[in-house]
Amino acid sequence: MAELDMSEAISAYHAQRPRLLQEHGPSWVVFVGADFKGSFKEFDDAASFALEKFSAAQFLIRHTEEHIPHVPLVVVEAA
Amino acid sequence: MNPLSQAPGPVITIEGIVIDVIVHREPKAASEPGVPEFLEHGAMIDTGASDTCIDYRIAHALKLRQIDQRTIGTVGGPIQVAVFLGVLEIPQLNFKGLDRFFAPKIERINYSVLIGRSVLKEFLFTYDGPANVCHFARPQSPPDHDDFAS
Repeated sequence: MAELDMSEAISAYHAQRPRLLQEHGPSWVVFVGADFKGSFKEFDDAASFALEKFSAAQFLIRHTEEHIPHVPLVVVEAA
Repeated sequence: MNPLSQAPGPVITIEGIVIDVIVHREPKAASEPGVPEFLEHGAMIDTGASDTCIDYRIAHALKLRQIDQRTIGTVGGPIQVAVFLGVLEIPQLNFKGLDRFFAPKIERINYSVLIGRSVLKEFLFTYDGPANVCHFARPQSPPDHDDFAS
């Protein structure tokens, strides 16, 4: 299963993030392509909304104030 | 003060730092031949991890929906990972909810699932080192998760 190219939605997220933060506060946001679709305080609500409204589409869910996720125990193997 | 003494409900004790979990496909996912609805694994409790992490082969086997791609910090440096949507169930903790799963492409693994702080934040949690047990309790009554029944 090939990974998807989500660059369009991610670019839109970065471009709109300052405005979304100002208008909605820290929140989980849903994008379909370059289009912002909704803002939610809980991930569960964002995911439920996206699944209900855009089940047939590819969507992005990301938090507007999230720092780089850390999973230290994942050790990258030497090539 | 032990925070678990404030818990309104029962305290659940787990031996060691590995707990059984079930990774489900998203609610109402269309059935597909050869694609299981869920997979069971032992998950390591990892307070150092910000999020739930799964072996990418689980995401592929269940045909989970990709909802993001991120750079994550690891011991070996930053790596790009796909992020998938699914339902995480931890039967011993009566926990079941939508979750996002970071799925790094790594061939050799010790655990198929890591449970990070995105799940642990739902619990009062302590680790008793000498006894090698984890204690869990809900800070409030658990929500009804019947919505995720598939």
